[in-house]
Amino acid sequence: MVKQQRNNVGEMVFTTLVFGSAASVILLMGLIIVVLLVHALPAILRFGLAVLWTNQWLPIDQVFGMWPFIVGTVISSGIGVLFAAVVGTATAIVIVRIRLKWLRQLSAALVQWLSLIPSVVFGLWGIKFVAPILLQMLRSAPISAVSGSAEADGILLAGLTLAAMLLPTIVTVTRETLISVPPSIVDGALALGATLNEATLSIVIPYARRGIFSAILLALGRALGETIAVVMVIGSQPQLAYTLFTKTDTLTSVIATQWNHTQSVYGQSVLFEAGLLLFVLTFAFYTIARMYVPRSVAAARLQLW
Amino acid sequence: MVKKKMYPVWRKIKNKVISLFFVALAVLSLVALVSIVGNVFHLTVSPLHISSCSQNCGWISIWPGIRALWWTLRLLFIASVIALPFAFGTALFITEYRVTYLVFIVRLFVDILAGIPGILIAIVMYGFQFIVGQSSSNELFISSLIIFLLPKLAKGFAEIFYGVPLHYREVAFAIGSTRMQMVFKVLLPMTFRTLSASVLLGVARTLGVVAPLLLFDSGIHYLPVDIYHLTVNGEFIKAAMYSLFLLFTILLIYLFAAWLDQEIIK
Repeated sequence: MVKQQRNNVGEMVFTTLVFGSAASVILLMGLIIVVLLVHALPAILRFGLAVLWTNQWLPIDQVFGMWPFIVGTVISSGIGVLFAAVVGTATAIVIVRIRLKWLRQLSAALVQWLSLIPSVVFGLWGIKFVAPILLQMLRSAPISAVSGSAEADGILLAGLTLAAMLLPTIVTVTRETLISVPPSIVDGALALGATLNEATLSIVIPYARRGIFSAILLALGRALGETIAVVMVIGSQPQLAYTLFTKTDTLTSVIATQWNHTQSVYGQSVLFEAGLLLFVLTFAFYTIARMYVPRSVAAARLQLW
Repeated sequence: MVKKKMYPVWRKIKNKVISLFFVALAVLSLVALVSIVGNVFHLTVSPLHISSCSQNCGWISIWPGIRALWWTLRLLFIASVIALPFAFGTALFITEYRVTYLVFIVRLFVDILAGIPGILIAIVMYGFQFIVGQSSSNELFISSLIIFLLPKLAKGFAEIFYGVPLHYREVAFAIGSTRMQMVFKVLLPMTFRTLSASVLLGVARTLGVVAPLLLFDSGIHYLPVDIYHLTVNGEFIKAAMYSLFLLFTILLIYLFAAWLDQEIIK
């Protein structure tokens, strides 16, 4: 009886600690919402929702428009996800098909290690590896006349850097999905006379489409929130991107680059408003994503989401 | 021989084209990914090719990088020690208690917080210090790391706990265990290696973050932040050398985690 009582006290303490931990998550979310709202409120009251579709960013004249950054975010993420989805899915298919077990595991381990590489290293790669190649192509092709730019920095470079960053995420999650496709249905397709590629395209990919879609969704989430790699290669100019080589900014990069340069009254408050918009987007995105993304062991263990 | 004749020529060509397409894209991805590490290596060793390299070479100043790495690991260790119990408790709350609205909300919030952009954490911490009063840079740094790390760990732990078959719990409860006993005598021993690997991978991911710490001009050396500043200032060789330290450290952590939890690779 005494032992039972002692256990009850221990159990109570344990339950309190567990509930306290859970409460800390709710508090954290509350803190984020309150801080963003409190600091964004002056800008919201002063400019209203017009900042969302205003085209110009002139802090000295108290003109703040986030439309160029919203466009920048959408285009750079779109380029990144498009490239990464196509290349990443094909890479995952090839890795799954490798017959040598050690080579298959080695390539999987390599991709997983690369998925942990910090974004700042990708930024450095964008500046020192991709930018010179792009510049070379720009100089040799008539495209420079179209773009009117002699520098590689811009939305295309940001997209390509993001693509490389998202590649390991897509390969890791897609590979996990492809592995889980029952071999019997592939064998069935082969027995009916399909080639391995035909079986892959008409049986394996449709079967694994939800997993592939979730990999793309996870990559999109990462692309929307990526700051550092983008800041390093996008050129950071608060202007609308008319060409692929226009220097512009994204919602995340504008906060990072404009933070220390805002001297106007509402400057910082507008950046908090940009943060609030980013938070609302993140909230909506991950609320939807958790409905469609099946549980991915690889994504959870590698902390990809 | 007979089998080869089964496919018409156009199907064979189509098959080859698809195979080539897959392999070409895989090679492209391999080149891209290898070039990322290769770029860091190339930049780091490039001063060695310059015959006039003297004391001024960035390559020689190796100690600031090691010192920054030491500082980074120290800050990360403190953040992990604080975040770990909260993440563990939150994961237990999500997986081991009856599903109510509260559990649903906590699970949703963990999912959202795990995907929140790092720069948002930075501005929230920056704004928070105006509400509660000035905090030291150390405190802000560590708090930002905790906010980044906690939901990711909680989500990872929860996935691991979901993986433990339900009947283990049922058996424990059937023989009279309390929930705490079930957690410490069944759940933890069964998942210890996987949990440890998850913590290590969480640390490896947090080791590379810059955005949550970007707005605090503190003088504290956090390796990725130093790499960012060096790159922005055009000191590419030094930035590459620091990146090499970072990549090597992450590789070591990953290998250790993969050894603990071999299911990651399989």
